[in-house]
Amino acid sequence: MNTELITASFIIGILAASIRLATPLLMAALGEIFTERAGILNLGVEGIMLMGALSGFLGAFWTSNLWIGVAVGMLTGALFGLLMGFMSITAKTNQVVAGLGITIFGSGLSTLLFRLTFGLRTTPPSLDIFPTLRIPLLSQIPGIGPVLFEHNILVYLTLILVPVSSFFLYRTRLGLAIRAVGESPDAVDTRGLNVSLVRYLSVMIGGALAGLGGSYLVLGSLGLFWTQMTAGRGFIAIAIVVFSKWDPARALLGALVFGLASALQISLQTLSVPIASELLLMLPYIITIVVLVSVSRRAEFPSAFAVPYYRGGEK
Amino acid sequence: MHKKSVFLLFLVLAMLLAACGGGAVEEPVAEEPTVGEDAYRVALILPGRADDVSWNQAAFEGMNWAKETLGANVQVDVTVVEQVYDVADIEPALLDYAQQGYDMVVGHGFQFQEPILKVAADYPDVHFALGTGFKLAPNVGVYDVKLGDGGYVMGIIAGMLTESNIIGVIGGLDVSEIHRGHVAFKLGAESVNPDVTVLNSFVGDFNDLSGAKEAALNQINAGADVLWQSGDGIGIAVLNACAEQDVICMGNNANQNDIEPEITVASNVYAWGPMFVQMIQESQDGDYGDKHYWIDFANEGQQTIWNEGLSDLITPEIEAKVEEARQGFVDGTLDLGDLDAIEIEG
Repeated sequence: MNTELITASFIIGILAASIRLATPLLMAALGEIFTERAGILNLGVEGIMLMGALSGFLGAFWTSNLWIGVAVGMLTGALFGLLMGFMSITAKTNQVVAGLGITIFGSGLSTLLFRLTFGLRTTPPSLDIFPTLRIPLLSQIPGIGPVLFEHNILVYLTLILVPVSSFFLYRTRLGLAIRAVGESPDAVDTRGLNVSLVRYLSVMIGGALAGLGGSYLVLGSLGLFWTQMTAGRGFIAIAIVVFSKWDPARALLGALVFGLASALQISLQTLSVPIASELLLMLPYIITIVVLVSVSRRAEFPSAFAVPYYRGGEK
Repeated sequence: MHKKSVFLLFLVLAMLLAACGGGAVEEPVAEEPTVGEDAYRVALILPGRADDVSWNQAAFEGMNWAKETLGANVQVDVTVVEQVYDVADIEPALLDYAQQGYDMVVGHGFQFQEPILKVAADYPDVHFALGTGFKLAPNVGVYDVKLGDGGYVMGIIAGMLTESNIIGVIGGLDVSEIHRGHVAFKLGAESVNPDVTVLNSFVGDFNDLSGAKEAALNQINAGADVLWQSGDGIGIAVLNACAEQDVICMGNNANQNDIEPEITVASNVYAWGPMFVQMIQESQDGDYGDKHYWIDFANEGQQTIWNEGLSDLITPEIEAKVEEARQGFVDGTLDLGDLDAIEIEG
């Protein structure tokens, strides 16, 4: 074991990496909170993230403007949310099947469109990512500064999105409507609000944030698009939502726990601890399962979770 | 209402399946493969993209080279299937081409081993080629790369270039040729630099580029100043991290010196073409299977390609050491023994 490598900067590096690794998960999880709060289970997050990654890349690659990439990634995500909305709200299909269908669709379509756009290459197309934005003064704080205040702008935006989501969900009329259609769509309907419209809106917000999570991998981490580059992050995000009990602040905690576990796993390999790499690679997933099992017994799913709404009980 | 929903669901799913074809992309190499009566038909099944500038692209280009080289005497039709990554997809893909009567079905990866043996038993007239592995059958040949030799050379370069005496290597999983490459990288570095510490990381996924980049950043943060990677998509992310941190890196599989030319000093390049030619010829002559086919320094299936743009970093001493090792592998005076027996910690 290379214990001599453990220095202050190495530990700071682990903590900073945790935040980078948590960011795309948090984006997608916040989106899925809106979706599930409205009573829809969207298992298509993984596929939507891949489409967000591809479209974010194309948008930024063609316009040389990273913000346009972000916008296109979110718009594509919202459109896929619309598709999920159509299948679950209008067509009232089984949401598990519809969501998994979207994951397969997004993963296949992103691969296909990338090939159709760029053909067979000998060097992968790439772009410059969002630069690191050091917050003046705050980034000078020893220890905390480099961990919290030396990231690119997408990381900060995601962190800001946590209180914004909480405020929206708990303090606005629309937030109340979203929570209500997930708990008691009948009551919302009786009050004269359009259940379908609120649900469509929620699932599209969810899609847009999943698209943002995917485009983060391209625009905030690598500058490259790669097939299947989400590598299961969409499903981890869904697990984080259950852990969070559909609360944005707890989702932040959940994403950070997973991010820290991933960063720790990577560091333990670097330090060559005498444990097989296969076991270390399982660490973040084992923690996820343990946390999920311990939390989900007490988790109260929205009452109308994954149940299509039929007016007046009509079937 | 319910019937309508079910109908809509099937409609949408059918559209999805038609659009993505289960995730695999099939692409004929020629514009229209003219299947002549005498044409020799090869199906090359790749676990990743044919343009990954790595493991898959090397095989793709090698097979095209073989097709053109043999073209004067025999027409070879090559069908390439990409992204057969999930183990569950492998057997159906193999069966598909075996049933269509292809002469040779190539599964380009260790994960094809069990499915190939299973399908090969049912199709004794079809020749199967397994890209790395250890199990053989009368109609199954295993082709492999002596990545131990190549990794050893990469280790020599890294061990001599490092100023911090810390170097690192990153790969997908601790299996097959990747294991041998990583073990030998350490041996090579230690052979020229007794004080060197060699870091070793596996990403656990060949497509998780973001995770691979974090692994590289972590090694760099621990003090590593020269990195190598054993390839695949994640290898591109390692080059990416090195470029961002201005740390020297090395390529594998394909010539990757042009991806990040500012920091990539050399690549360990595989040339599968001549070996594929030999396999197809033996298949036609009826001598195929039940044996290993290797690419190595001796048959020039493995080569160290320097980045000319960074030649000032490569001292004559480094070049001499690399040439000495290469010559040793060619004439057999340098033999690393059983690298599979050496375990990697962490």
